[in-house]
Amino acid sequence: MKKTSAEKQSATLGRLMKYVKPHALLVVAAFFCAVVSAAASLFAPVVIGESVNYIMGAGAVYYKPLATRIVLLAVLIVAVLVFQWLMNIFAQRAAHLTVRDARRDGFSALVTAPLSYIDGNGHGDLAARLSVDADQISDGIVQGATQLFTGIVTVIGTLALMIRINPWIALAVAALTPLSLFVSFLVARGSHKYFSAQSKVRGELYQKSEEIIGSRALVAAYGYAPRAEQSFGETNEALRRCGFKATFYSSLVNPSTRLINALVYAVAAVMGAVFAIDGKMSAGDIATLLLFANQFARPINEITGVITELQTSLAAAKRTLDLAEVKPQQDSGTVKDKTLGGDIAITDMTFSYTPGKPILKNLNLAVKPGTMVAIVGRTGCGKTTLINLLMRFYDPDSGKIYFDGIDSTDVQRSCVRKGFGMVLQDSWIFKGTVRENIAYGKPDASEDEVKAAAKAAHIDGFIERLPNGYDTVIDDGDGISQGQKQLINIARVMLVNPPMLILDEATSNIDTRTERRVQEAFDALLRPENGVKKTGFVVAHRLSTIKNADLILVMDSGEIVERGTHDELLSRGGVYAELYNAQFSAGLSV
Amino acid sequence: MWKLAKFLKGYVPQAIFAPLCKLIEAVAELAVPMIIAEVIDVGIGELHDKSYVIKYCIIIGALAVFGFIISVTGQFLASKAALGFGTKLRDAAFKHVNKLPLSASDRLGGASLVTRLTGDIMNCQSALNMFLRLVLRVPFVVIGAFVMSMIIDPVLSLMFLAMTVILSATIFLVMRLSMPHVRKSQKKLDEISRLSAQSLSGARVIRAFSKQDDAKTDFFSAADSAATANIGAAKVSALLTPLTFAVVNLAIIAVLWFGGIKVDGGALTQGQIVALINYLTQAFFVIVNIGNVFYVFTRSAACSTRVNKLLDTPVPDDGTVEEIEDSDAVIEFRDVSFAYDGDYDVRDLSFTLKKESTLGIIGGTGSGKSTVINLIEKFYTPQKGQILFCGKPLDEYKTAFLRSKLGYVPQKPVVLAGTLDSNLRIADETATEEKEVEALRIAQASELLDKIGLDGTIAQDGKNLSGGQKQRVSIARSLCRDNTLYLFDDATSALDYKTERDFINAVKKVNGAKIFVSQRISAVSSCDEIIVLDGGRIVGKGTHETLKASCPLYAEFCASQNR
Repeated sequence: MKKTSAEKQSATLGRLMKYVKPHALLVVAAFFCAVVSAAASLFAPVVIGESVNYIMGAGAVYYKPLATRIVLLAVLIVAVLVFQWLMNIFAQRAAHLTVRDARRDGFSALVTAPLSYIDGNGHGDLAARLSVDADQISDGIVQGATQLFTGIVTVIGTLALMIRINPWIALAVAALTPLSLFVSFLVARGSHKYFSAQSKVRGELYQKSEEIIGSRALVAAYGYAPRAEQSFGETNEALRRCGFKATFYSSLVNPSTRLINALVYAVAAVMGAVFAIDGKMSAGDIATLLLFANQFARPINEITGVITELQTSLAAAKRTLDLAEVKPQQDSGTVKDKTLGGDIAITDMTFSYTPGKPILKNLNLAVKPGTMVAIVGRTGCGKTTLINLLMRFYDPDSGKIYFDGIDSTDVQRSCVRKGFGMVLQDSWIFKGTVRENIAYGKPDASEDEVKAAAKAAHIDGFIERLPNGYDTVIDDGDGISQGQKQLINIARVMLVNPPMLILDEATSNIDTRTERRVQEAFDALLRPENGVKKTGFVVAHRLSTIKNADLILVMDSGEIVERGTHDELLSRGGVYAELYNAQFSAGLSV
Repeated sequence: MWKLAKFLKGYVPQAIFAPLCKLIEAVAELAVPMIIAEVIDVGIGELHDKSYVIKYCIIIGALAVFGFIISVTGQFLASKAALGFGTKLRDAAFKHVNKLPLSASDRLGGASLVTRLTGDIMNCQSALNMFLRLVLRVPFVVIGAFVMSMIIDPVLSLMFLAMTVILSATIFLVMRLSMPHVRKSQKKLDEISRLSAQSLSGARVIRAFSKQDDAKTDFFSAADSAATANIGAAKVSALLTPLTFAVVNLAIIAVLWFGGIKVDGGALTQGQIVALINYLTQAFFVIVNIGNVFYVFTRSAACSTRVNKLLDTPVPDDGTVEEIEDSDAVIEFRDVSFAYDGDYDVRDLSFTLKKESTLGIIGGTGSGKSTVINLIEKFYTPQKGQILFCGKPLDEYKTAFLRSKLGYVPQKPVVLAGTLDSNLRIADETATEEKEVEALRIAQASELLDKIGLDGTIAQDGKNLSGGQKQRVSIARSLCRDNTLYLFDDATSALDYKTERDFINAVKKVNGAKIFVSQRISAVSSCDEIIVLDGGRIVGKGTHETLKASCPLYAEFCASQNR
């Protein structure tokens, strides 16, 4: 088990390295600067120690060598200043450029991925991979390139210098320091348990507050507050208890490593003093040794932190890079620029989202150009799936769709989609001006065209009342209602005037009066008074809106159970007639 | 930040002794360089006595152990105080949220309230913990090191002072300069999140219009500017460590040179020089540490402001009446106008609802239908006019009492995680099982009851129920207690026509007046009286038959829904 996770980590590391590679020069430069600055900062205590040696006592201060040491120290300071800064900049640049590339690839994969991937994964999760997760990669690279490099150089250098001064003391310090590592490891392992308990309870508390605050109208209306407060209080108290344990145990790390380090310091001091009394060391050497003993432990303690950081960042990298590797939806059609005429034939088409659970079964359908097809049926009967297949968002498992007699797999997806204007129940607004949103499918549309489309969608009045009219920036968040968003989506399609139309519950969020007017605009689009009729597919909840369709398909469990015109179906007295009468009579008799 | 200090009540001893412990630890730490100086000057320089040296080093070791014990005690007390504080504050904030009128909590926003209660308070709590640990320790170590160096040499200690000032100024300056860069890169990250989320929610539309390349162009430029912003921020913040290193070493140079001159003159010893350098590095590490945790305090300052804003939101005075007088009219609106903010959403509403009768309110989206319900529930208070409940103005009633007489069914059905039973009992903890079953029957939810039973689990947000089922549970809840007035705010929108009709027929037999708000003719047509709202005004009042003839808007609704 452990081995496989290590293997996975190194596999991710390999993939990450591919992204780092183009910026390898920066990493090498960072490493070089790290070595220089670490070496320079190591020599500073040595020089300080030597300086102290030239300040023996009254009348025994050797100014000339002292001055050279001080100049040397100044040079070292400048070297550290410059190289440490450069090291950071090189590392940061390498990290952020790597992240940028990973983000670009991830996003490109996202917009070319099959819809099944996007529908099958949480959107919040996918977005997090591009934002927060990708950000974590840079933290890892920076920490790895700076802390790890300098840490290793410092530890080795310190040890070497200590050995040069006095091998015995160096040995003692090197032998004792891992103790502090061990202690911090013990503490970390102990507090991990409490931390996971804490985050669990914190999650519960978060959920409770979200639920109660989200339902505050209900809570107020039914006087539920005291009961809610009691339950919140219980979780809150639980959080206090386990939060205390987590906070306290984790706070033990610093005092215990400080303790170990202080003990190491004391041992080094004793040994140094004893050697000095025997005449084997100078006071300056003791000063240097003590400074080293202090700084020897630091990078080791830091490296443990860096390793956890690297692990988190590798885990995050895996999520981002997994995204970048999603295969794009294949699009091998040869027909690219054809304008579809509206003749559609479906033969023996079967489709399922999850194998073994077919959503559409052996569907057969022939639609002549200019036909308005309405699809009705209960939720889950396969209406929207049929739309997904027509738009080539998904491809059938078996069977074929023909556009103007051409096998759909020979027609490029973009070509199919250009043929359809589509309005869905879930409307979509992107952050931008109202004009940009309406002219999405035709960015070079004139002002008059945009306004005409808005008027046809009956959203012109609303837009003109906005603070900046058509230049008002809108967003998918709040500010405009679901209905208004849907109308903007409708205007978007009106502007393009596509050869075919797909309306999937396109007016579900609009009040019935406006709906009726929008319906008229769609009719005008589909059946222009002096022009060619267009093929259209309409999925509707309210049956009264599709009465004048040329062909009504009644679907149930993935099959077309009835087909015909409104009158034919009514007189047949089947499923459709039942549905229609239920709606109609309920509306009247109450 | 200080305003929150009152929530420390009950943890005052801990809050005082925690920093005190850390202070004692600092004293122990400060003694070490002095002892080392003694060892060098006396033990090595004068006596050449190993046992003297060993004795002093054992003292160093003992001080370390003592410091450890004291420090752990301090951490213990600090954690106790911080967690106690956080828990109290959370409790108080949660209770305050429940007391706020909806107008106030809506203005603050639900998501923001949750953040204040959880993340913000959590940040304040950890800032307090950090504060207790550092508050006395840091200035003490810095001042202590300074005093010690003064004892050694008053003139050289000025160097020390200069270093401290320059170091603090450097840290402050670098942070100040990097702040705008950090904010900028945060903004760019938000932009990346937004573009990702947007291209996911619009996956179908983007593909339908074949706009993938445009989406990529937008995102690429956002990713570019995020990288640029981050690199820009790094250029500034990467200065911090090297600069502090330079400052402290420059101070050491000064001590070496000027100290050297003094030693030459016999005013100082070699060991004292070593001690001075040690104090410098000690103070240096502490100041750098503060720099590292500085952001915790700046962040928590922002958080505490937000929490205070919540706690300072006033709770309006409540009425006192807790009884209902017998009155012919259950609800009476007298020229009521109300605005959420800015323009009036409902204007000059006047109508009366008689005891045991039914009122329908119909209108398009944004016509002000739900506002009427929100005003009766006293979620909001009208700016103009008066609302009377059973003959007395709403203001005179104790809000909790008033609401206990109203059966409220919101437009968006709300269910809480728990069971079917626990959801129904929100209305009345003591409701009998018969009452619950009957309520479910009227709400047309018997089928659901048969399927999952009263003990059936309901997931958070009712994820295991369909929209229609949630709506039926929400209706049944209001029927679990006897109310003077029922408020059905578009409560049947997710039900099919037949179920809606069955519900309306069944609920008519329940005692109490009822208001049905809807945009469906079928939901209001059988009411004793119907009000037609348009743009917040009443444009028609009457029965289904009279309105069909007299109110063009009503007729239009009928036409669009029936044929």
